[in-house]
Amino acid sequence: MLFNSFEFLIFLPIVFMVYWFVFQKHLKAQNAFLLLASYVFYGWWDYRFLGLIALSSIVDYSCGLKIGQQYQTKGKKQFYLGLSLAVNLGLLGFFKYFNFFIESTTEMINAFGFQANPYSLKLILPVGISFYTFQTMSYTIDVFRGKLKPSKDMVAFFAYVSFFPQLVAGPIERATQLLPQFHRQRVFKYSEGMDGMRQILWGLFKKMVIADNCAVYVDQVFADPAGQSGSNLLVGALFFSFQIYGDFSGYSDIAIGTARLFGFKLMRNFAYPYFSRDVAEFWRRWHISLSTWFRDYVYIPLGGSKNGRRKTIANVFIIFLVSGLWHGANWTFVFWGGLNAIYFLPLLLGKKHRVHLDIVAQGKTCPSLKELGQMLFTFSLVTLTWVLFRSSDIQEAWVYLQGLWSPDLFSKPQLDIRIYLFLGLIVCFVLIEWRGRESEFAIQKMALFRPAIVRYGFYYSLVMMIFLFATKEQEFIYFQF
Amino acid sequence: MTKCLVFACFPVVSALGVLYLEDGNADAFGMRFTTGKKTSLIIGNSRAAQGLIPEEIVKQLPKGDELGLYNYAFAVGYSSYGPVYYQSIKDKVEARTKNGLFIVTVDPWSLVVESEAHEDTIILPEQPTPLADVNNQSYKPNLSYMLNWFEPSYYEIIHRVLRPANERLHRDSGWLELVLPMDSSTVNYRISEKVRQFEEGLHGVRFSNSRLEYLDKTIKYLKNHGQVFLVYLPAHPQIMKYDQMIMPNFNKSMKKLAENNRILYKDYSNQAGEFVYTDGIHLYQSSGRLLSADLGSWINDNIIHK
Repeated sequence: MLFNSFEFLIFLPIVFMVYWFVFQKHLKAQNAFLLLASYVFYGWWDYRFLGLIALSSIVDYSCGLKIGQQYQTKGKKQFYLGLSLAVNLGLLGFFKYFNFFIESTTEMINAFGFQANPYSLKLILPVGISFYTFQTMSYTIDVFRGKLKPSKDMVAFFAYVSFFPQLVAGPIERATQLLPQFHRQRVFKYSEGMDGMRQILWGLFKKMVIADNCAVYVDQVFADPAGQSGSNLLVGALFFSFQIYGDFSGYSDIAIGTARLFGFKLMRNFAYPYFSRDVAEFWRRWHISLSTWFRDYVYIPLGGSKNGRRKTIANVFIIFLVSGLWHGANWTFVFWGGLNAIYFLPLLLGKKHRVHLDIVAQGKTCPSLKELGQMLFTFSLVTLTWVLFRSSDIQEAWVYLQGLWSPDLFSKPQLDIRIYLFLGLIVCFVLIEWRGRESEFAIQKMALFRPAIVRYGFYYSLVMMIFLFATKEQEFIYFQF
Repeated sequence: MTKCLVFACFPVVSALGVLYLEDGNADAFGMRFTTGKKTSLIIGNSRAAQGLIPEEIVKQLPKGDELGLYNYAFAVGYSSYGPVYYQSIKDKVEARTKNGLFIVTVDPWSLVVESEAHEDTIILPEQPTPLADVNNQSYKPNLSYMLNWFEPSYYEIIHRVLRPANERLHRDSGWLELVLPMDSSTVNYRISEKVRQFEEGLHGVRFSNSRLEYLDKTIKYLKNHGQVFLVYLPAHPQIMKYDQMIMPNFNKSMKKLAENNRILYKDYSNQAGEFVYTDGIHLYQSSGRLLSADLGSWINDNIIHK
């Protein structure tokens, strides 16, 4: 089920009503109902893959219990941790990377002059597998590290793994943060509910107005980069930057807002990344739940930046390449990760990666010229990496990047006249985000203390924009990861 | 709570207002489902949708205006003869009609299925279309259509009010009007593109007996409600050769069908070179007017006045 679908419009109020009005006083019943709702939500897409979530949940629940037992030896605990990791990574590896590795190996063998026949399986990638496997792995690792006591409440644990607002595309929650919320009585707060609704509204706007409409032109340009003028390619790359941001941060806003309606607090996933002044700041603000996951469970265990220059460089490359590969089984993602590592390394080695920890131009209406320049430069670097991310293969990305520097870069784009309208919409969107950058999400406090007519007029405008600009239901980009 | 309800009313009313503004500019077919039942119809695919202009036909007929002739032809992917179109026609015809006029247009492409398709599965191409899903209504907006089948975003409705499209469906007559640049180089390019598409698509399709049976069934049904005329609409000579390749004995087969049903058959294929086409398949509106007037006059000569 998609957040931007008619089914979800029916599903959410029903689940909300039953959750608060029928099961309000029974925590276990609430959890059981959430579990059921989550499985219905996921099964709406393909019920056959519910078995994978259940398998991942049962393995981690059992391993967690075993690891948490006092009398277990360290070796036994390591065994159960290994089992949990093997099952989750095995599922991920099989469904996501099997064909990629087989095809890449075949190509490599053929490149050396040997003859190997291409072989691949027709596998469907289960939606959300990269997200829920990472979430459950964080649980067993944290139990192993002694940061968390294992959950004995099976229903609560299963509901934690499959919690529908963030099941298919995150935020990738830490067990230490989310699981205890399933063990606590939850109380409905009107203000939280309204805040959640506002966040859902803003998320839908980002997805349905910004992302989906940018997608129309992005698809057109990326379908044939060789046949496009430099200015078309520039518009395509620019629009894709806003498409992927609107799509993914929009999804996260809807997820966090929906969780709020049920009394849960999910972690923030985006913090206005396009207002970053350098690439290190960008990576602290983009897909925060994944970046911090890799930092805590891969980068730091590898030694981080504490074991000399060479090891640091290697670790940074590992983290970015793995992060690239996490997005999909394609060399474009690996190169995308590599390019980001190249951007990031000079800052890290020069110890300048933690210069910008505050909010840009905090308390001010406008940024300084220097800040504006830094933001534009960072945005341009990031936009170049998105070309790799969006291209279907390396050759296509190369053609695209070459075409971008052609003399007709400053010519009038040969695209539908509506691009000027959407450029206008993007400018409005950026201005709203800029004004709201000190809040958790842009419209959280916007017009909140104004007269009701202004406040509701603002919400009305957003609702009407969503109605007018919504295209046919489009999947979220991150569903494919 | 009251505030929320009042707030909810504004977007709903505004949304309905926007949907009401759509008048055939933003979507090629939607308005056809807002005009209720009809007593006289033109049916077929896009050759008829764009090429036959009801007002030009009825001008040639005494009391033609009273017929209420309506163009209910769509496109190959929608209205090839088969169970879906058959049901939709039944839904569109006013049940009490006894003396209506029905112009059934044909060409080989309205009788084909994909080469690999089994005869039993011919419903598939038309199944996911509004013809299979939306009932005809006499008011607009038709919410069922606008929510499920309206292709572009609703913003397009406003955009098209400000900048009319080159494709416009006349709600009253059902005619799909196209205004396109007709300079020879542009037209030649469009024709060459169509030829290329036909060349590529030719081997992917084959004649279907089931479709022919449904054409027969459609004619028999319409005969219960008035007089039926079978018409083979022309295309550019470069395209007509593909008509021949798909069904070499098409004319013979249509003549036989007309004889069996005791209706008249008008074949325009031998006049194909006399008309102007926008892209090789569809008559340009000046030619559409000529052909429609000619057809109207032929019907007038043959219609049995009751």
